[in-house]
Amino acid sequence: MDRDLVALLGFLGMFALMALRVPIGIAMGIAGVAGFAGLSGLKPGLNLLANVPLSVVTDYNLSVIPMFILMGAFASRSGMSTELFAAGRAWLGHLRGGLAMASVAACAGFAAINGSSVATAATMAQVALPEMRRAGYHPGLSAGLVAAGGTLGIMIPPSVILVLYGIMTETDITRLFAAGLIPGLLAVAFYFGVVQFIGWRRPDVMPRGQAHGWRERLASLRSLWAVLLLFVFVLGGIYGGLFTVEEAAGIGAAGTLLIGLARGRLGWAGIRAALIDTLRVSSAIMMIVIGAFLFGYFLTITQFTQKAVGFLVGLPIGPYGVLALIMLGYFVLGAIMDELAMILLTVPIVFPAMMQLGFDPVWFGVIIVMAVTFGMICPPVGINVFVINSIARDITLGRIYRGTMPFIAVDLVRLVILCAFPAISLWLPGLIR
Amino acid sequence: MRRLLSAAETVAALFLLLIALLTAGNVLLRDVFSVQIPDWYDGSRMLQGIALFWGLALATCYGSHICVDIVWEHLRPRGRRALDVAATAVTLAFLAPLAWMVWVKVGSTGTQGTMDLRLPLVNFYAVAAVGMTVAAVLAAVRLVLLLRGREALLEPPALDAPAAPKASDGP
Amino acid sequence: QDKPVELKFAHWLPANHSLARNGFEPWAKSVEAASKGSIKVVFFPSQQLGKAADHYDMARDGIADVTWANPGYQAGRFPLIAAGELPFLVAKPGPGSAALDAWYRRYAGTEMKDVKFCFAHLHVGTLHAKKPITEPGQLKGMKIRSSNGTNAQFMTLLGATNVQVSAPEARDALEKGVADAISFPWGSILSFGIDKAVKYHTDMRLYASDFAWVVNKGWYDKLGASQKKVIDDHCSNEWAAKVGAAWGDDEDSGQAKLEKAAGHTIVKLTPAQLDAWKKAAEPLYGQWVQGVDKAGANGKQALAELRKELDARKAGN
Ligand code: NA
Ligand code: NA
Repeated sequence: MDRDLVALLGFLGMFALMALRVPIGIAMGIAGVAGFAGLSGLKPGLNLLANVPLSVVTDYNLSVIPMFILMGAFASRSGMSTELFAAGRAWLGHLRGGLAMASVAACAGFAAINGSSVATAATMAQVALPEMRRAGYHPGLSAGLVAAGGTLGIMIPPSVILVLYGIMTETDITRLFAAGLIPGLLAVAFYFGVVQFIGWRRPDVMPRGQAHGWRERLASLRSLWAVLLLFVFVLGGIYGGLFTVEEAAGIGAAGTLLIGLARGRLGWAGIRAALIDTLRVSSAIMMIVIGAFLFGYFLTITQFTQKAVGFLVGLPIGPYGVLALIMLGYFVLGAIMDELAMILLTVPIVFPAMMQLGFDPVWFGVIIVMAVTFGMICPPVGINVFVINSIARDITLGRIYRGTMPFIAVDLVRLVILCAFPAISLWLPGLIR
Repeated sequence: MRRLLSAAETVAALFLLLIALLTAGNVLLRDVFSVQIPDWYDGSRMLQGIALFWGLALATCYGSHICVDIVWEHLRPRGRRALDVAATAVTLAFLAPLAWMVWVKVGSTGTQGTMDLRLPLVNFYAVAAVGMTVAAVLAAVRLVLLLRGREALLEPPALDAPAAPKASDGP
Repeated sequence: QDKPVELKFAHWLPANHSLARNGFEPWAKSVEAASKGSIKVVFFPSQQLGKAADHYDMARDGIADVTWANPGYQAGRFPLIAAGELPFLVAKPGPGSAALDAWYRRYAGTEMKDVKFCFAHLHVGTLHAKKPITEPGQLKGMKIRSSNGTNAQFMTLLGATNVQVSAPEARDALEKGVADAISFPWGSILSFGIDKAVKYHTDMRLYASDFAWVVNKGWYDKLGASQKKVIDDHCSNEWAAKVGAAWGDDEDSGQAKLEKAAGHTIVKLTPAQLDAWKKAAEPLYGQWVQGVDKAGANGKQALAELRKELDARKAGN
């Protein structure tokens, strides 16, 4: 059979299985194995199952996924997320949209000590969302804000998505981490702007809170030492040459546990809950990684990957035209499928094309994170929105999606700015060398 | 059985903690005392593989894999049940040969060992393979319970830890 | 006329790597020409079909038809061919590869029985550090990125600690100080940009890495008679020597480039210093003999035979 046709059938089969609500990783795995068997024979297809899954789960590079998630789980179980929000409220609470800005700031702070956007959104949905609602904030808007704020988890280092991108493309992960910091802070500024704008147009949906005295404010900062220490130690250790990025994840998790124990905030129950949370999330992620590898090997032998790269590079619309087309593609894909699967499947095609068109690999890592960001908060399938909906059951999906709209709008603006001025992403990594 | 699963989950989760401690301990010893923990690297890899395969087994049991709900959420309860049955059957059809092939891999590992202590990998792989076998079995169990309308038996046990303290509790 | 077939060749190097250009491609062109185009080689570089450590199994399993495998990535699985990794055993990569290949052919049928063994080759490398290294005792307490398992065991034996990073990450690890030294082939120090991080290169044959080209049996069995002959002719000791020399000499030419490069020092050893290194490496030879004995062959005898093959080609150290 014609290989292009087989590749097409593989994609169709995969999407059909996904629509049947077969787990995403398993849908990709079945399509990959079946396609490989169709082209190379049943035995080689089955043999993929002998090596690939075990090879993926025993890859030490991928330990950053469970470890950066575990770091966040320990941090939230030991109350660091609460402290972040409390500090934000003490300083910003009395302003227009104060609690909303406090939530964004807490998202950014929590993002600095964990690598996952879903974990950031879930944590802040438990810590910040109830407080905003109690203060009379619009529920949908508050939930939308937390969904968007959650995406900071993968933009501000450490970041699981940037690590995966770095592994897949052999791009220096330390430079990728540095590249995400300023775009992440830019997002904070833009989200503050959205809050101010809404608060100005509709003061009723974002009431002011009471002012906190200076003593309270300073006290709130004192409790942040743990977060600051972790962030500085983990990133400082990476850049100062104490350990590798992969090691940093394990060290960050162990360090967070140690601080939690030292402050008397973590008992066996809390530790066990954090560990099991992490196991559940990482296993679900790893199934997708396994599926993506199986499907990826299938795509490779159809030689679809190579052809698609050639096609993209050959388009007569200039490098930025191709970039715009790719981002549009991500927008559509991200709306309907899981972001991790999307990245794992597309980067092998898109990355070589972007490099041949002369774009910077580190800068493109930041752009990939933006693509993931949209997928996580855009309807109809946005994982952050689902996670928040599962925690705050009474806020419907539709209301949360409407709440994310203003933030998606400024994210679009931010994407254009990051494309127009690569220096925003590349200045900081440039200082390292 | 629930007790057994819960215990397995706790052990697999503890493996993750062990990875963090091995990594941190090794870096500390390396940077401060210039010594290393033998096989911390391969040891972490094996612990991770075992933990994640067992984690997959539990995700299969609890039905907590990441799925696309785009069709499912527009269906009535009967349609949803039909879709769940079909998806679980497909999952079983994937996990059963996967578990089988992981055992084939175990059989072909031979004398391969860890880098430092040359501990035979076949032992670690076998424990992971048991996890994948449990995953396939649990997919079958889930399918049977779904068909009988009793899948509620497989709800994951709640974590008995107090949630994080409320923001209003303190500064 | 044989039915045209495709030969899927998988490896984990970048497509423009020295070995890909000087080893894989000439071999593929020669196969295509000798088969009059009835065998078409398609390359899958950069781990496109599987992880580096899985390449032996990929040929066995039919994921690819021919793969380039590093048996040392699976410690303990192929105890005999691990001889190629022994420190200070081989000096010249071309004739050294020929010797290793000629010697290993006796054992390949049992040790690599689930594939069709094509040929084996090796390259040789040394230690590159931030300070001059002349004696084995200096390694105590140093953090080293090792090239393979045997080399890592040697470093541990000398009191050094091993830092685990991939080759592309190695430069970063050295620049930041996560690692103090690296064992690496000469030319790759330049091609990976590691010359920016380490300035002292000890002139010795510290380690070797060996590689095997392996063929899927089912794929080979289905070939026509003349196609089989083409593959047999290209799975020869001559090709082992050719590929070993093409890559190994290219790597070794890096030494002259580094010697000329500003700020770089080639650290020479006195005969006494070299003896100290060789003495320090002796336990590894003992371990290898033990491992081979356990696998059911005669380790001492096998080592003597390998040395004979090396001496016959003046490839020893
Ligand atoms: Na982060
Ligand atoms: Na999405």
